[in-house]
Amino acid sequence: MRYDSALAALGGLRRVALASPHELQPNLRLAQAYVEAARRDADPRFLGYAQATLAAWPDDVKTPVEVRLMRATVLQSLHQFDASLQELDAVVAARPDYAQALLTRATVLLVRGRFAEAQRDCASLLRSGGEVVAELCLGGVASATGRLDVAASLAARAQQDMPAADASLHLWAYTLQAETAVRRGDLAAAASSLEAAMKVDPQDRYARAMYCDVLLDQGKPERVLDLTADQALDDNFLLRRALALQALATRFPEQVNWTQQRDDAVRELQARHEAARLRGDRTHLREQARMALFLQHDAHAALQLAQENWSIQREPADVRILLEAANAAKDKGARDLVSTWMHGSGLVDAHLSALLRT
Amino acid sequence: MIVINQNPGAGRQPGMRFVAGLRAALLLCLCWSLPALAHKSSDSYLRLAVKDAQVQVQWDIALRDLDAVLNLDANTDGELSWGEIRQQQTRIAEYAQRGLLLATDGVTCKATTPALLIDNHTDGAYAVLEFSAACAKSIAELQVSYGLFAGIDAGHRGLLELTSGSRLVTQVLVPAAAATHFSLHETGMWSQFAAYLRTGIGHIWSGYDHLLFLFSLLLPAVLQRRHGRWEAEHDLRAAFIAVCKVVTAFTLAHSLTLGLATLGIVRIPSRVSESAIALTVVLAALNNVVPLVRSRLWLVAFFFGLIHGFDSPMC
Repeated sequence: MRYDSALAALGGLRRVALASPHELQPNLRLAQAYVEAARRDADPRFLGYAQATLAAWPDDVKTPVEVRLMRATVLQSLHQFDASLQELDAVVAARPDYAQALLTRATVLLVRGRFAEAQRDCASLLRSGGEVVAELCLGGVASATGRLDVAASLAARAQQDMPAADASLHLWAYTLQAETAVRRGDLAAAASSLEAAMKVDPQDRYARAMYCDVLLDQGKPERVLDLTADQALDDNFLLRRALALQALATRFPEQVNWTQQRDDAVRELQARHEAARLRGDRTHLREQARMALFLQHDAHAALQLAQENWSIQREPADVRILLEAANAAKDKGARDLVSTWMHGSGLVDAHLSALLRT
Repeated sequence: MIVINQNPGAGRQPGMRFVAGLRAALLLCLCWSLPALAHKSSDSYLRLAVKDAQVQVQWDIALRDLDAVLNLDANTDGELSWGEIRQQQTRIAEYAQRGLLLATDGVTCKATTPALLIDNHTDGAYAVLEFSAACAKSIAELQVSYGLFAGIDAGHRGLLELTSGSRLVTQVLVPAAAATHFSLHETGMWSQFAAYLRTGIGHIWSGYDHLLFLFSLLLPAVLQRRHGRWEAEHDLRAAFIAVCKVVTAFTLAHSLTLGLATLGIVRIPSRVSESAIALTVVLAALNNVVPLVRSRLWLVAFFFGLIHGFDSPMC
């Protein structure tokens, strides 16, 4: 969708909201539309618009829970997880059966590596959010804590029960299956789950990015180039494209073309990271660490970035880059930290185990 | 029609820059496509150069952000033609300048009408506003109030680069936050001296090992052990001269080796220098209890100073 037509679709909502800046519903709807636009286009500007739309409501207990939940969602998208959790705690305290708030909080807790609390919120969803959502939520926690069989059967059961028309639930189930397959070390199964996910919604960024990573691990960089052939790539896809180009450049050193394209992509990424650094943006530390390690071959810079990233988020992909950087920098302390953390969380991951053995 | 390529990898293109007015006639069919997607939060790049009572301003603002507020793309074709931009030049300038207030001593500086240029950044085309602001008097402290896109985009930031003489200050400005004050006094000789003095006293005071060493070294100047008893030096002038000699000798020697170590001319492994320093502390203390050196204490101080200078990370 072109930017101007996207904004035109928002235009109507914007006019209504502007006409009544202190009325809850129109502003909430506009903020919601901005958050969706930000997600669809991976365009953080819309998050700033959403925050400004809700700025009329003060930051206190009398603020409606819907506003606080929307704020929490924006903060989550900006990777300000602790601030997001603060809002969510207040929302859940005010309304303990608010399914959307519980689900959002479970998601943030999972990213922060607080599995027991995430599990509790997912379980609460059984009462308020319906069985399918609760199963997928619990499946996510099970997958992150090494109970891979539980995760797989929860995903399968949810898939049986979910309405055929609900694309977002189907997407969620497929990506959960793919994550679980990756942790088991079954890349082929992960790839077929992700292909199914992309049939449901070819535009879904989460599934597409994960698919690129699986293809890179499978040694299929050509497919990654197909998946990242868009004109305007966000940082996540540009990184994966650069990694694919590098794999091709290594495989066919006589073809200068790949090296050149790789260098162009790296330069572009560097310029973007520099622009992010200038404004103090820390949302893409994981990608920056991957770039430092695999494209710039600077193990120490990568380790520093991966460690900083680790203080913010602890998904398996964050564990992986930290371990890869620690191995490359021969930093035993960082390695031990990862191994202790994996032991404590229960995380089981074939690739990580292999990395810990090297 | 020329559409400027937004392909990734092209980066900033310094050649793609056009001055309004003068060359406009040549550029009537030039267009800038509004990027379909931008994967970066909104930033403006604000450069301020201060000289006497004048501030030169160069301010890059994304066309896409201006369009979202001012609807510059009148025919909504997703591209901004030079004609569209030129027609809106006054609105762009007025809107932007409302978002920036420069003042000194609470008196607002008067801004000129900006010249409008277009420049390409990595994430698309930017309007470049160039103007100057005349302040009431020579600027000792500049107050910058930033309010661009306040109430529109809470994620917007102004990336400020302020130069004054040889000084460069950078700052991330948050819209509608309190004014930021920049003190532009060139640092005077006396304030620099005072700063060094404070740092020096703080450095010595911060470690009791330093103080004990100094006491052991200086004690013989005023108090000496003779025949199993402590005897005070009664001649104040002699004591003063002795203290001066020890302190000066130590300082000179310490500065010499510290300089050599800092400049990397001489390198000594830290375990060697640290052990040697510990030994000097023991010797200085022992000399008070079992006097070994009584005359020419300054020579000993000089020698110890040489060793202590190699303790560069601490000094």
